[in-house]
Amino acid sequence: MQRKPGTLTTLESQILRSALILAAAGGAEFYGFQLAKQMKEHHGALFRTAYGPLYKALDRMTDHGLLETRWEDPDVAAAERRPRRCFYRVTAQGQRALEPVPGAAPAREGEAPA
Amino acid sequence: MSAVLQGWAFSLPLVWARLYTLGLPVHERHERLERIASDVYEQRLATRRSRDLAFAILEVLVCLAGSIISDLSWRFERGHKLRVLAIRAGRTPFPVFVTVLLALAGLVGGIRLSVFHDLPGPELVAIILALLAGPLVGVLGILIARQNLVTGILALSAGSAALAVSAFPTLIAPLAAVVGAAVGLFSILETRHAYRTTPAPGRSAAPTSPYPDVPQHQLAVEAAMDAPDKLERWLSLGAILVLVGLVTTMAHDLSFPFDGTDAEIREWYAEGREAVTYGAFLGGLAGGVGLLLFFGGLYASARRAEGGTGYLSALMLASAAGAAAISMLEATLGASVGMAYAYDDEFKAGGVDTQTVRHISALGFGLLAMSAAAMAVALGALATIVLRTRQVLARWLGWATVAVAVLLLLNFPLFNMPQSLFVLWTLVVAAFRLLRPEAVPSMPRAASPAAI
Repeated sequence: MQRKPGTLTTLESQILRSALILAAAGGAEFYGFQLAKQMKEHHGALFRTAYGPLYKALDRMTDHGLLETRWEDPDVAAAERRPRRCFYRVTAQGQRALEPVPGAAPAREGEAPA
Repeated sequence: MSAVLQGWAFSLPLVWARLYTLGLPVHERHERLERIASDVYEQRLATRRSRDLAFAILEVLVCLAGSIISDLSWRFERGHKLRVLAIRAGRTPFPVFVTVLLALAGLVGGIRLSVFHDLPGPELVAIILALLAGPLVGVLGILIARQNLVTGILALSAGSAALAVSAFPTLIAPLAAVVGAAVGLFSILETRHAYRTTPAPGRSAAPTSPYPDVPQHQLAVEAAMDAPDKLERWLSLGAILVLVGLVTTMAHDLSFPFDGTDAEIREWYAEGREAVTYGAFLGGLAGGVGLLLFFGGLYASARRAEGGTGYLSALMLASAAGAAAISMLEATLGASVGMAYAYDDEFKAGGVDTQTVRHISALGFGLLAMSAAAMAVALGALATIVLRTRQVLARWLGWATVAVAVLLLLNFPLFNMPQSLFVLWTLVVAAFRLLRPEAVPSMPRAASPAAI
């Protein structure tokens, strides 16, 4: 995906904000469905974000160093008789991407300050 | 009923994910499927808690519909990255062969139609197409070799569509479709082949990597694709087809009275030389195919040796493809009158127009000179790679390649004699490549901490 350096897409901004809300609530790590649910509630949407765009954005953000990822221990998932989860964590770079620059105009939705 | 409906709806995202991840490496496919499976499982669990089944099913379907374009785009990107990696490594010349061969088949077939059917000014159409064929295939070769497969296919389709509209509505259009389908199929096979060499994460080939930022499995793919392929060397046997082309053309040219009187030319056709005529046509076709195979194999090695942008190896392949196209056109034109005489009774009854025969003969001579010039460019590019990198061929063979390239530039004043020398060169190169395979490069090892 082509993007200007230092900018986030709307979906990426929403992911980061929702992830930080989850982190503030005590979950430093989150998985796909948890994030989609949080985003839906936070933005008051009727439907959750579709699988394709969500995972594509998560992959992209991981590639850009905004998120870190790890797979759950298969034994844990097997013990709970459910599929393995892929956990994400917002990196320091990801947190900085949402922080406003002192003295700069407030960032619009879909755009992160340089 | 509701349970069945629910199960059916929640299984759809996984069915779709299984479909669009077909052809991906096992570990990558499993990761994608596991993510979707986990997501669907959690969503289904949440539905049980909320008990709002109708809305949950609707949400799943909306999610699925909203995913399709994004999923397809993700799948295309994954496949494209692998194809680029494979073509960069010069490992997979098949798409190039298939595309160029089908383009040539379409063009040669089109010219045959123009010569033998009631189109206005068939000779003129044939000449225009002859002039178009080389550049078209050449540009196509460059685009493909520069790793831009999609643009290459579009260029071919656009060129073919233009020809279809102007002259051959029944032949070229289906061929363009076949080209697209064939390239797509080979892209899938090529992607599967590249991924088959990819070990899953955790089973990487190198215990210590000199490139800590690059994933191990990606390094393993690149290392695997840097290794020479047996097929590259065996494609050198295309030189035999080139020899067949030369022999059949010579058999035709030696028997045909180029400098004879009108009566002698008419007598030659009346004697029924179908075998010689068809032989020259089929030999020309075989020679062109042989050239493409021969240079396709050479391209793989030259591209790997050249590294970097790969402009020289791309130039070599494109020039060779152009030369092959022109040679095939020359063979088709040269045999056209004889073939019409052999199977078209009306043409036979009307008698042979000796002026047209002479005109086609002169045209063929000119086309051979053009083909030789394109071949000289191909050989010049190859020689530069050989002499700069000391790979692909022996140094002495590199200098011999320079000599043949220079002589090919003089093909016209030397009455096409250097082309025989060129065929000899292909046989020598083929023997060299079959008898002296390249060494397999190994992955670079990380420097030990003590050495730093």
